[in-house]
Amino acid sequence: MEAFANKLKVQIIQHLNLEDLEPDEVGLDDPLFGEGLGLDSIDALELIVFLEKEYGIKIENPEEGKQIFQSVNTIASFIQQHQNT
Amino acid sequence: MKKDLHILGSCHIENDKIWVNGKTRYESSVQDESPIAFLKSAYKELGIKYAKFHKMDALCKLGFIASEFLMEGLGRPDLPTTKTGIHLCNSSSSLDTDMRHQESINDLEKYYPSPAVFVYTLPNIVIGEICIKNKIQGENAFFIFDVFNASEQVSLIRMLFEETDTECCLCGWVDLLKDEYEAFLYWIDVEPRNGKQGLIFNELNLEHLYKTKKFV
Repeated sequence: MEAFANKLKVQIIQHLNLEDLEPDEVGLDDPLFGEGLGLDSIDALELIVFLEKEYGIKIENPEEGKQIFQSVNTIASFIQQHQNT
Repeated sequence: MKKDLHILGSCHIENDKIWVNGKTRYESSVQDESPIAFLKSAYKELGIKYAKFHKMDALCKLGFIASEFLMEGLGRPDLPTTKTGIHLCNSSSSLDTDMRHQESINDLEKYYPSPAVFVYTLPNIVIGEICIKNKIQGENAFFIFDVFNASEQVSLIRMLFEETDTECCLCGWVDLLKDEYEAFLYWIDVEPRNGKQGLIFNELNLEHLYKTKKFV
């Protein structure tokens, strides 16, 4: 799980063009939005597209996104749950 | 009524070096760094935590870092938020990010116009980033000129102070294209702030400050 979350973190950094951030600077449980990594609604849109393109997972309900996108670990759990069903 | 305007502070950034009020404030220990790498090291030097910085494109990072060093040099004054203006200019507009956006949509098989990139395909976004950080809500404008032009700057900024209720203004030049970059920001005020008298705002002083980086 941790190895997957670390790979996911690198993908997120690349996809969101956070080009000067090193993966080590982002904790797996750090909040992604607000005071954490400072992501905003545009980045939420990017993350939705990213999940669909990279993992074939669609998020239909925006409310669901708030829970899923809390941290790298919550996104990793969500992806793995979907891949196991 | 004609207001007396003063330059109370300045910040220059070029060639991996930052000058504040005429004095060297930061110099990278790494030679010929990329602009992004240099700006990240300058961000660390500031000792602030502002997560939005990492999302910005290179032009916004340059403007943001210059504005933060300028504010530091001014003693981070309390600003009259609705009466603080921003007046910036450059020659390359947002071309650096425009080209990145173009590259991302050239390949029709991987076509994906990323919002995180194209949101920066306007030069005045740098003004927005500085306003958000400093809660500035006054008049603002971004102009494109071939080169830094002190005469135009003085004329436009005088007009801003004379025709609006602007009391102070962050002004200057923020230009970046590929590996070339230059920022020259300066602070204009109608009155001394934090005990600083500064320089009289006129074409001669502005040109001298820009060319020599000496705040005298």
